[in-house]
Amino acid sequence: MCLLPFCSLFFALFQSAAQPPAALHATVRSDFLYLASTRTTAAEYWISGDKLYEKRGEQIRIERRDLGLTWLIDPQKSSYTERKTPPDSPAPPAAAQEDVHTLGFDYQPEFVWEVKDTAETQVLHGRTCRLTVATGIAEFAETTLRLWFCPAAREHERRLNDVLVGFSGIRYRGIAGFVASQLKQRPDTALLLMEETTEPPIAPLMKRKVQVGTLEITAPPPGIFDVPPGYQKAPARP
Amino acid sequence: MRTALISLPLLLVAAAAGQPAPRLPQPVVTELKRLEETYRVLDFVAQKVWPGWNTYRKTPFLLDYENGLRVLIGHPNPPPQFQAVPDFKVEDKAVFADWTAVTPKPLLAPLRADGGPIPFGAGPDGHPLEVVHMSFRSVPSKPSESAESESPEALAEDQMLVYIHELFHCFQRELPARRMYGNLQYNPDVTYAVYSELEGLALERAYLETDAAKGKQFLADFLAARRRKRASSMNTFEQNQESFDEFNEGTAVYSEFRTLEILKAGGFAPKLTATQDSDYHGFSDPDRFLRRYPDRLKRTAARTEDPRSKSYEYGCFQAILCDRWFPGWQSSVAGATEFIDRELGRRLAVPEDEWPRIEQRLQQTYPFAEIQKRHTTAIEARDNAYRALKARAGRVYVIDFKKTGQYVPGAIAGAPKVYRLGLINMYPEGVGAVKFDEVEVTGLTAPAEANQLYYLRLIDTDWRQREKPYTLDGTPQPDGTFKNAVLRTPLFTLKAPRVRILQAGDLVKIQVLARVKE
Repeated sequence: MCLLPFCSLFFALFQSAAQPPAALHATVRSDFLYLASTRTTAAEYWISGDKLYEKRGEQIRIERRDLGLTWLIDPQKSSYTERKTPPDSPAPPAAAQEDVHTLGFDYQPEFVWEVKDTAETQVLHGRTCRLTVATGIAEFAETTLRLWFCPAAREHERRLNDVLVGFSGIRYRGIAGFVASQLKQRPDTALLLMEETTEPPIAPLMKRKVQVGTLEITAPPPGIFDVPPGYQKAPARP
Repeated sequence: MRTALISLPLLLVAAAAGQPAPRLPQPVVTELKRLEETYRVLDFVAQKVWPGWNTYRKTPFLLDYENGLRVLIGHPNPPPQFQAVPDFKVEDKAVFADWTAVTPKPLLAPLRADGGPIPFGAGPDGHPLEVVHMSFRSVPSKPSESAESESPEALAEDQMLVYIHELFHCFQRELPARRMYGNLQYNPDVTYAVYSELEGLALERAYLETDAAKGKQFLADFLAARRRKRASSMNTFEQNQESFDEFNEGTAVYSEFRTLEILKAGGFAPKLTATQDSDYHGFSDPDRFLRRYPDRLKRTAARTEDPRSKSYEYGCFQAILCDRWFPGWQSSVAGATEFIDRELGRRLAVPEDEWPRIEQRLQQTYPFAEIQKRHTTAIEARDNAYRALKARAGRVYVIDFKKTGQYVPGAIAGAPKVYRLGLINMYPEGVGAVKFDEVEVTGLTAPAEANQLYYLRLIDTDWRQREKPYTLDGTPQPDGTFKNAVLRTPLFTLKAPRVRILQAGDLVKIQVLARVKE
């Protein structure tokens, strides 16, 4: 059986063989409701194989895993900085030795999760997506996630899942890690809409909605995965 | 004690019926009058406190009360739950109130508030807008353990000085190109504690010294102690955070101090009257308040824990001494030198080869051995308490007071011992009891910690012997909560107007949802 989104993606990729390789083009928007105001951020992505282009406001980041490099582009100064891209799965850091100077400040909740795959569905980008509700309880925090999992094309949208979680600005590692683990357990899915409600230990309630806007396979603008011609390399910040 | 009671049923009925909101309770009205008087005080002093400080009317205020009432003053775009308070303004600023979450808890004067600038709502441009947020709480008849110097007295002038302090924070953000370093998050070791106290003593000696040459020697002592402390105990980031806090909090305290000095020189005509506010005396005796600052410096210096709390007094006294001996320091720290201690170093210009001699002087002319012994004992006890708490394993009970807005350390009285690491207050010999309004936790003899301000955490090491983690009497509600709850566990008994119980793995989390019966 060929699910419609898979088929269209397959044909799009196939047809583009003689042209510049097709890329995934997506926009992502995050609405963060906190202290009676909503802060909206948006980003545009182009993803092709090991190459990723991200534009947030005026900031552009190009990740070239094929070269092991990441460039941060500053269009206003016509300059860029370069740093090495960390590998996909870096070795887990050795357990840091406890330092009494910093104990008790940085609280990272360790959530115990209850996950419910519901029967609720909605159509996003022509795909039937299913709602999973996850509730996390930690000693000094609680969170509820509403994750809309949709059928996906593996090759491109797996990267989109990664960037979506990174883009979302989720405050706690435990939440971002949980979403990543859910995506890993569901390799054929894309996360196109995520809602987070978190009661942090001290600060007021936080609500966040992250959704994918544009989602298409198309030929990328020429040179989008390269440093624009004429840009000067600037020293990277330490 | 004066009491202002708000009738909850009346409020809810009025709100539900879309009727005009009820009148503001008298303690709130009094506070708004104080805010008006604060602006008049600032009209008189602000330019003398810091050149260019004239934007203090710009920032809206958000007043937050323990009964859930919120009052917003001068906000250009109040969130929808805030209703305009008719016929009431602070100067020309509109006043709005949010009655939607008001509980029957009475507002009992005297009240005291602290807080700071936060983003709240959005301005006309849609961007988050900064307001001065003040959380009011009842002044305890007896000081709690968390407020060692808190007096049950609540003078209007004290509250106005808090407003001035917070408004000065807003002004700091207008200073050119200030880099942000964040607050110091640091637990002292013995070296830090010793040399930090020497810093404070040196500042005190410099303040009391009238001879400029001798005073500057004490300032060199301060810098020598700082060099030694930082070289052995802090990384560059932490050093910058410490100096950043001293600028932020220190100059805000300095703005209070300078306000009082300027008022002491005379010429200010109060407009708020004793009839309107019986706790206000028109700053007729500024010395009464000024005396507290050197007292606080001395007390703070001797403290082993909580280095950040020292930034208020240490920064303030560095600023006061700069005023005395280094004119023009304000424009310098608002620009190139950035930190007050860096400015002191630039002005004193101690030759590099002088420092060993000055450091030697610290050991000879200050009670070094006594200080070292005291802090060594305190830090060993703190670290032992941490190790003992960390070694406990079993079923975890967390009592969560966040919904009530109650800081746990502020509701504990009489705990035999308490030690602090970061946001953890450790009670190795138990807490005794937690009490506020109609909430009571008793029987707390097991080692415990108050963590992240709102949570009390205990571990039942014998949990395998227990049949059940708790028993609960109360009236179940459709939303899964329990009213008039009495919860009994092997480690404590909790009585509260409303609770919710969450269980996950070995964690039993009890959320206290109300301070008083609804």
